[in-house]
This record gives sequence, structure tokens and C-alpha cells, in this order.
Amino acid sequence: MKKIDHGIVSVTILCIFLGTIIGIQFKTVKKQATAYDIQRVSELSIKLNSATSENESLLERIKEKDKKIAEYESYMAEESKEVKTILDESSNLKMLAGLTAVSGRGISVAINDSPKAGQQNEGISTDAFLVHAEDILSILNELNVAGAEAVCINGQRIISTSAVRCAGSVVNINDVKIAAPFVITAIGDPDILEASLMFPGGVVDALKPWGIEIIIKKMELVEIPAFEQQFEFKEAKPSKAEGL
Amino acid sequence: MLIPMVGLLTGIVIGILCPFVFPASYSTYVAIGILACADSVLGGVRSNLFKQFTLSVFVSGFFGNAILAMLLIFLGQHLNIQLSVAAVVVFGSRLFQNFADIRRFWLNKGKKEDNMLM
Repeated sequence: MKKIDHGIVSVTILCIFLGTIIGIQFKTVKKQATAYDIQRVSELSIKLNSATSENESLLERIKEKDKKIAEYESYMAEESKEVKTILDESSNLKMLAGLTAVSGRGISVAINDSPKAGQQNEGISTDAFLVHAEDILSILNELNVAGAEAVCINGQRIISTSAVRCAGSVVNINDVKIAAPFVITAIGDPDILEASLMFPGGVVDALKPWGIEIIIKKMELVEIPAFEQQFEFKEAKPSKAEGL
Repeated sequence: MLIPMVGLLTGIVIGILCPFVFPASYSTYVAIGILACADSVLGGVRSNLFKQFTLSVFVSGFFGNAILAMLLIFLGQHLNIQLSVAAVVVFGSRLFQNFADIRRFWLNKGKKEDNMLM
């Protein structure tokens, strides 16, 4: 009789102990899970915010400096003729590089995901009804072939190093995230540009069957902004063999 | 057998009500401690039912198992082996084994001969 008593008592004591640790551990795990997440998210969002505002203030400063440089340049141009020719050359080169905002005749191409994308489609992946980076690239290519002089996509100027890349549900252009609807504007002969997209078997024909909405408008005046990001050559140097 | 269950519930209430928590880095150790404890509890219940209970075996089993399990985890963390898995598997299977014995005991309460076999 005494032995059984011993047993029950010790098991009970252990049970109380077990319950206590289970209770504390339960709280510990619960606390950790929420505390960690919130801490991490708020930490990251604070970092992101400060980085964004720093970025903006730096961009402001760049614009100010650019203005000052332009002032100096115009002042110098009045002084001497050689400087004026050099500056003209420089502004030509800047235009070629996409560093100045330009305007002129051109077209705008608006493309948007197919309305079928949201619905259930038997046997066809929803992907087929969305605008992809590849579609934008092929339009861009056709426009360049047709002699577009300046192109921008949703305000992002396309320059020689611009990349159009799929990044999940959005498209990265010049490292800026851009989502549908996409508006591609190009400066060039409107008729030729339009024809380059509309010809039979061309880009528009390839996209239309999927229900992707493409609206091409010929315009008398298209405004295309300058390339905003900074770019610098780290590896490339003028080739010596070229030597003038 | 009702008293240990009441004890368990009381313990859980105490644990949830008491103000402090374990440090996060000891989480694995505590988890293994819980397993060792649960194993000992079921073992104790089983031996009580079969009238084989000895306090020394019970106490040494509890502390020995818990300490060995924690040593395994400690070693595992320093050798980068998940040795805690070994402890979890062994304690887990023993939990089920003990539970099976207890279950059989209750189910076959009327038939004496079955109890002896298990």
C-alpha cells in the first residue's frame, strides 16, 4: 500500500513540474514568434524609409548641381566661340545618350493584361494572358528597328544599358519596378513606327489572340523624360587602337 | 490516476500564469526536458498500474534521461549534428509504448492473463 502511495505522489509531483514547463515553454514560443516577426519587419521598414529619403535628397542635390553646371556652361558659351561648339557637341552627345528630355512626333503604345487573365481558363495557364517582359522587349526591338529616336516605358527612359527584366509580378526597367498597364512612348516617324508593330505576323498579331489589349496612338507631340539614374563606366575604357 | 492529471492541469495553469519565460537559446533544451518529463510520467503511470513502481528507478530514470538528452543536444550543437532527433525519436517511441501498455491494461482490466503478457 505504501509503495503505491509513493508512486502516485511522485508521478503527481512530476506532472505538476511537467505542466509548469509546458506552460512556460508555450508562452516562450508564442512570444518569440510574434516578437521576432514584428521586430524584423519594423526594423527593415525603418531602414527602407531612411534609404528612400536619403536617395531622394541626393537626387535633389544632383539636380541642383546640374542646374549650376548648366549656368556655368551658358556663361562660358557667351565668352568664347570654341566653348560654344564644344557645348553644342556635348548636348548632342547627351541627347544621344538619353541624358536630356526630348520631345517630337511619335507614337504611344499602351498594353495591358488580357481581361481573361483573372478568369479560370481550361487547360491554359494564366501566364499566357499576361504581358511579359519578353513582349515589351519585342515591341521595343521593333520600334528601334523602325528608327525610334527615343523610347521610354512608363516614364523610364531606355538607354544603351537599359534592361527590361521580369521580376515576379512586375517588370524591372532601369532597376525601377513597373507594373501593367505599360505605356511605351517613342519618338520617330509615327507611320513607320505604327507599321512596324502592325504588320501581318508582327508583334501585335502575336499578342492579340491572347486577348492582350494593345492601343497604338499616333501623336504630334510626345514628351520623353531624361534618364534619371546615374551611370558610370567602371570597366570600359576608350580603345587605344581607335586613337584619333 | 485522477490526481496526476489534476496535477498536470494545475502545472500548466501555473506555467502560463507565472511571469517569466525561458531564454530563446535554451528552447531546444526545454523542449527535450518536456519530452523526458512526459516519458517519465507515462513510465511512472505504467509501473504504478503494474505495481512495479520503485522510487529510485523512477527518480534516477527521470534525471538520468533528462541529463543524457541535454548532453546529446549540447554535443550535437557543437558537432553540428542533429542529435536532438535521437532523443526525440527515443522519447517519442517510448511515450507510445508506455501509452500502449497503459491502454491495454485498462481495456483488459477484466481478463487477468492478458495483463501479464504485456
